[in-house]
Parts: sequence; C-alpha cells; structure tokens
Amino acid sequence: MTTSTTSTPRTNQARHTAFNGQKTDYDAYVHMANHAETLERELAEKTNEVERLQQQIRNMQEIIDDDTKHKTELHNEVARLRKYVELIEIFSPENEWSLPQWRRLIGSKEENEDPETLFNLYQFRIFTEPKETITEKDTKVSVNEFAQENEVERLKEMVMEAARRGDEMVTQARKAHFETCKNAQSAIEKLHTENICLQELIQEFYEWSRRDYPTEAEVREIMDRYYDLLNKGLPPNNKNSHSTFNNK
Amino acid sequence: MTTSTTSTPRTNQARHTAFNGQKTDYDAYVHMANHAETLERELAEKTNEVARLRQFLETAIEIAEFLVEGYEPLNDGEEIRLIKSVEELDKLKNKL
Repeated sequence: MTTSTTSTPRTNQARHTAFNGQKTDYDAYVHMANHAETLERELAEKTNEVERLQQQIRNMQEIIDDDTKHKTELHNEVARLRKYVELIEIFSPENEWSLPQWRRLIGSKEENEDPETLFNLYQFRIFTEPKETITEKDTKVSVNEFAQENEVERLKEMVMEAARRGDEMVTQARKAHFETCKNAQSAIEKLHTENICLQELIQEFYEWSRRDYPTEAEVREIMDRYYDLLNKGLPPNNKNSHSTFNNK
Repeated sequence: MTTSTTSTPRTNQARHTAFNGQKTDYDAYVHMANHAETLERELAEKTNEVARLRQFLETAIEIAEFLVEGYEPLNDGEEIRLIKSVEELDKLKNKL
C-alpha cells in the first residue's frame, strides 16, 4: 500500500534539478512531466513483471501438486502391497498353516473354520485387482518414481509368489482334512459295528439270566448291576441307558 | 525494458488537468510533481512485490527440484530450509 510517508528520492532529485537547471516555471513543469512519464513507464513494466511472476509461480505450484499427488499414489500402492506381503508371509512353509493368526488375518472369525471357507476368504483377500494408478505413466516421471514403480513390481511378484505358495498349502490342508474325515468315518463305522455286537451280547446276557432267575424282578436287578459295571469309566453322554435295552 | 513508445495515460491525464485546472505554470509544475511522487511510491511498492515474488518463485523451483531429485537424505540444515520453503509456498498459495 502506498503511503504519504514513503520517501520519493527520485522525484525530490527531479524537483531539485527543475528549480536549479530550468529557466522558467514552465520549463520546470516540462522537466517534471517528463520525469512522471519515465516513472509511469517503469511502473507499467513492473506491473507486467508481477503478472508474469505470479503466472510462473502458479505453474510451478501446479507441477509440484501433480508430482506430489503421483508420488503419494505410488507410496500408497507400495504400502498396500507391503500389507499383502506381510499377510502372505503367514503362508510360507516355515509357518504352520493351522495357526490361528493367519486365519484372523484373512478374515476368519471361527477357530475351526473349514478349509474351503478359509480358501475362499484367502482368495477374496489376496486376489483383488490392483488400482489403475499403478500402471499410469506420468510424463514428468523422475528417477525416484522409476525406483518406486520397480518396488511396486517387485512387491507384486512377491505377492503372486506367496499366493502360489499359499494355494499349495491350502490344497495340502484340504487333502489332509479329507484324509482325517475318511479316517473318522471308518472309526465311526467300526464303533457302530462294535455297538451292535455289544447290544447282541446284552440281549444274550438277558436271555441267559432269564433261564437262571425265575422272576422278572431278579432279572432286572442283575441287569441293573450289569449296566452299572458297564457304565463305569465311560463318558456321561456315551453311557448306555435302560431305554436301549430290548426288554422282552 | 522501458521504451519511449510505451503509452503514459495517467501522466497525459495529469498534463491535461495541470493546464486546464491550474492558474499558473508554477501550479501546473506542483501538480505534476505531486503526480510524480504518487507514481514513484507505486513504483516502490511494485518493486518490493517483484522482489517478494522472485523469492517465492525461487522457493517453488527449489521444492520442484527436490521432488524431481527424489527423497535423498537431507542434512539438518537442508531439511529445515525445505520445511520453511514449503511453509512459504503454502502462504503464497493462499495469497495468489
């Protein structure tokens, strides 16, 4: 802001020259008018320069903003891929696939999630499409950006490699699970057969008791003792009850 | 660069006022001297603004160079200078 206290040395000098060097007041006026013209031309030049500099600064600001935005996108992409790498590290052969922490990482909420659900969760989390920005080539790309893009490529490869390993691990796990189910099925069948044999023995024992004891009350007492002996040492939910006994 | 062909509308207006509104040549001279003072003050202000903008532009160039060169490790002095530059540029952004 211009103020009346701002010194004006050039105009003061012009005043001095006008009074000392000019013959008349009119000459002094002409001298001062020429001085004013010079000042106005310089002022116009400075005004143009201000406009030019402001435009240059706006351009630079735009370049900086674009560059910063691009770098931020790359940083975010690297950070995103790093997360996946950390996640997939769990699938490495050094880790037990059954550890609960990797299940939690891929979103499993249940401690005993079945392998198929886990595999779906794993695929959903890992094989998401990368953002388009990662493949965008900026014309103002710098050496550092190349380094970052290489880092992105490297991390992507690591992710894919880890995913392949994870795939193998899950396949193995599923195979192991099916094997366990198969074994469990044959064990159940075996127990079922044993149970039938046991029922037959009980029935036989009952019939044999009927021959030796004349009354129904005596037979029941013997059978109760027998069940008491049989149920000792078995878990409560597996204990035989009298209802299974085919009372003839 | 100033040239003699650049138009000077304000001084022309001052000339017109000086001859039509003033009684004597001396009054016309005083009127023109006041006009010259006003111009010189505005010129001083513009000169300061140019200096300030040049400094901002240098700052902007410095930041752009830093971004292009990449995230090389900076020593303490460089880092402080860069932080100040970014702050200055933010201030300028609000002014523009």
